[in-house]
Amino acid sequence: MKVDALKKSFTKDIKGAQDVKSLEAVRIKYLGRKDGQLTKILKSLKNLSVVQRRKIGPEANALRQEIEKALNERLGIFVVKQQHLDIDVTLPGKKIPIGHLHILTQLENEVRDIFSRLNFSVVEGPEVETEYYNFDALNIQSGHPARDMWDTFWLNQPVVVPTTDNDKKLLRTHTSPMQIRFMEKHKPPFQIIVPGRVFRYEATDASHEINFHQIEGLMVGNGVNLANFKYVIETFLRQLFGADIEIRFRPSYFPFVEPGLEVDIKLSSGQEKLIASRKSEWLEVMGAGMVHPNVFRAVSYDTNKIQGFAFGVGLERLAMIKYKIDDIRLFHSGDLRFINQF
Amino acid sequence: MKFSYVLLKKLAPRIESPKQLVEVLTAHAFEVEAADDKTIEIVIPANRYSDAASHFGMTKVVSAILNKKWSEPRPPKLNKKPRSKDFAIKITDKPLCSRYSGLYAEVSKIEPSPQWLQDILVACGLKPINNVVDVMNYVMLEVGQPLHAFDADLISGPINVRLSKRGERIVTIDLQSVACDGHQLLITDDKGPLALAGIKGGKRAEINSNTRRIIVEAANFNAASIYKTSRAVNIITDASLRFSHGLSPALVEKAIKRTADMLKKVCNAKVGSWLDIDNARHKAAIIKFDVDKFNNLTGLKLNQPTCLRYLKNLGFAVSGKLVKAPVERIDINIFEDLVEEIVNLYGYDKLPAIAPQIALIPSGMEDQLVLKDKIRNILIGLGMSEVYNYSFVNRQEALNDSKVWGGKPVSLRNPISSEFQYLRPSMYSQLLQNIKDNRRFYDEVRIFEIGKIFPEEGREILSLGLALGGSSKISSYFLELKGIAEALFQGLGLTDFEMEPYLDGLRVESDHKVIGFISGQVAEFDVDKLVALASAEKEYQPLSRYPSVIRDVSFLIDRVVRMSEAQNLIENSSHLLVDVDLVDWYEDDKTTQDRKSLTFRLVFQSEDRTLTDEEVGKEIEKIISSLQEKYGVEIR
Repeated sequence: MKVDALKKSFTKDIKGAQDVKSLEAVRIKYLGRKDGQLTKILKSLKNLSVVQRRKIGPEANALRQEIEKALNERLGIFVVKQQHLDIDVTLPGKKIPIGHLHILTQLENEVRDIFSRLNFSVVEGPEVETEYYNFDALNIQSGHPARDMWDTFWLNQPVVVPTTDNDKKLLRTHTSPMQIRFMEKHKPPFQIIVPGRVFRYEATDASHEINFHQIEGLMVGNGVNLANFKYVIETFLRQLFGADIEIRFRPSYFPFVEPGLEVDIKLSSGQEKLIASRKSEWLEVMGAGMVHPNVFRAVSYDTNKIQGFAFGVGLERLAMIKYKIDDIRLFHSGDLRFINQF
Repeated sequence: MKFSYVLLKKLAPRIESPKQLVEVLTAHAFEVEAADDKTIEIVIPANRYSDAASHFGMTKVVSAILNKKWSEPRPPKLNKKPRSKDFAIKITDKPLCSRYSGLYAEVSKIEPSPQWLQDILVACGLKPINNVVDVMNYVMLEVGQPLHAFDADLISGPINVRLSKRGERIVTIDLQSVACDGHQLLITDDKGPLALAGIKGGKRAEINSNTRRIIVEAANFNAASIYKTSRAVNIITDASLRFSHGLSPALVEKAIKRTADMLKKVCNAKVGSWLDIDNARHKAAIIKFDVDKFNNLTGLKLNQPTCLRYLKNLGFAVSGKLVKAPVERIDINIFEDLVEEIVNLYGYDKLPAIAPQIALIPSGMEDQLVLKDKIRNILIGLGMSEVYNYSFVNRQEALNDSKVWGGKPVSLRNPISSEFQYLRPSMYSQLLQNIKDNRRFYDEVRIFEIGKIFPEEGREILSLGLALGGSSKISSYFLELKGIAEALFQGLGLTDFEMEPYLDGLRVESDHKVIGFISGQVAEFDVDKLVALASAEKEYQPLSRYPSVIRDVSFLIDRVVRMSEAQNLIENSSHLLVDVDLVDWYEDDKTTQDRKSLTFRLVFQSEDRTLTDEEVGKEIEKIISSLQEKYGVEIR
């Protein structure tokens, strides 16, 4: 067959091919490795005279390129056609399971990030503590009602252990024991925060839990002062709650600080329930103060050279204010309807 | 503690309104819980009962805030007598009672006290009884010293302050019978107990309508002893609270003098002798005030006279740089205590906020924290949600869960309820319960928790618990959990681990340490151990330049042979194998009988050449023959 005739027949065939399969049949008809009509011509070139070869060779090769190009173009149309969605695109997307971090984890991460930017390091400590670290070393005397500020869970311990009073084990009532543990092993200057779970022996209700979370802060150095404390805490609270938040510092008492104070923030509208239950639009979020010299003495620091501040903030309380959560018990419910909201 | 607004206002006329009082107290001294025009409820800090739990003390604080020094009214002069014809006192257990005063008086009539006095008592939450008892309570409110009055005619012999005897009983004025065991401090006479010292008076010598001769007691008892007894006998009174927190022995004298005055005025009494045994060594601390140290600690820039003026307004005696606190301020002992007084009066609202100047030392995070973050991020990427459970479980759960890590579970001496009696030895039960609870609302539940568990005393493990649940078979969740664990370890850079069959699940080991378990639909891992194992840095492995050859091999093998054994054999049969994966398996009684069908996908690759079909074929023959030799498998 002549090249020209072949070209005409191909043009007809390719028009008739309506899908990928028939297109493949066309390809085999002309370009098939064994019996393709053009392939045959190309294979026969070597048997022709030089003159004929010069004439037919370029024609045949040009046709091969033309056929390949046409096939590919045609194939492209079919491929696109195949990808075309024959469905109602407004149907809902397939549900892909995504995991949620617990809101307290998210908030703790946020708090950690803020303090990390302020050059604080993050450390953690044990949840089972001794009476010494939880109370004595923190200047909280035994046999004094000041200790009643922390209702304590005590562990059952085998009687064979010859326990002196301050070896008795308990569940830490605050993250403050890590002040002592950290200072025992490090020299100032330093600034740390200690996130962790704490425990209180008390009846649970919408605002009281038997276990909850605190973040302790401790900054110690040569000239670390109360005005520095105010700066760090204002910066922290403004970064967490926004620049508009109203903050109040007022006197308070904790045996391990002197002077001692508490920090309140003003609740905004939308938190009427919380305001009503507390009979005040101010809500305390933090206890704090300058580290008491007796605490430094417990870790053999030179109280003439070293000073610093400490604070403790309740994570659940921050979350309740920030996300307008009205029942503290939700945090430990394991209820995904709650957890998956965040 | 409740205060009478009327009395405070009378003592400090600068007070304008309850609202103003609340504002200045909150900003400069104490937290206020509630206030109206009769009662103002103020939170007294545990170290301020000696001075601030009284109207005089509170007036002193409020006046200082309002920038005026207030001094207590001076009662008429009253002298102590060495002895009296009307009564006698002695202290047997001196360490528990540093001071004991008695005041003798005669009254013409026991009757209701005047209305103004009753109103103040009621505002402070006290119940008016009669003129004598009401005066005792009123003076306590003013001065802060608890007082008690006995009917002198009902006392035999001298008043003796001593420890109880074992088996002794006292009946209190509200008719509670308290059994003593030798640890309680008592006020006694020749006949026995008259009062539970510092806590409650006894019935026997109570003031009654026939009382004409009284003995007023004002004393200072050991705080720890009163605290202990009051909790042991479970009687907490206004007096016991005050004594428990510690009071200045100097209040005894102030109270006796004020009582003498008030008895005359209110009860028209004839006041007799005052006996006082004073063994107290109550020297007020003298503290040097250093204004530079003050400014260094606070970040303020006040001058010395300003600072000292604040202290003077609070009744501190100042001589040059030396400062002496008022006698009732037993909380003032060190320099920092003075700093607090001054800062409070100056006001935190005026304190500047100053950025600290620190050395540029990088901050850091403990490895454990870094790993926790990584684990959490990987797991939420795998569609797991994070739960927080209580650290407490009940006995049943504790005993069951203690099997996971071994050991005797730890219980609490004072659990809040039996549901929360034990520290959780594992998260197993709690996670299963979470699955069950959430299944009411979700078809599929995928959860994890990171937290402390307590397998036995002295062992506190940071644990990672994982659990899956839903409508599928447990076996499919088991395999999914296993996959999640593998993906997690890979993400953490922990490559060298083994999963060994253990009980009805798997025990995960690495470097000969047990790092966790997968059992049913729950898995639990020891994060502390993961920290040690996963800290290795990842290192780039060159990509092979030669193509890999993939072949599938299917065979029938005895059901009892574990897949992992067959896989191990294959892996060890050819050094050209770079990967072996099980891609299909099935067993059913009809077609495979007591055998199962396994299909492995084998990937062959060489680092230095392109493998030929022939080469790979030889390797497969080698593998098949070892399988046949060891397990008699039938190739399909």
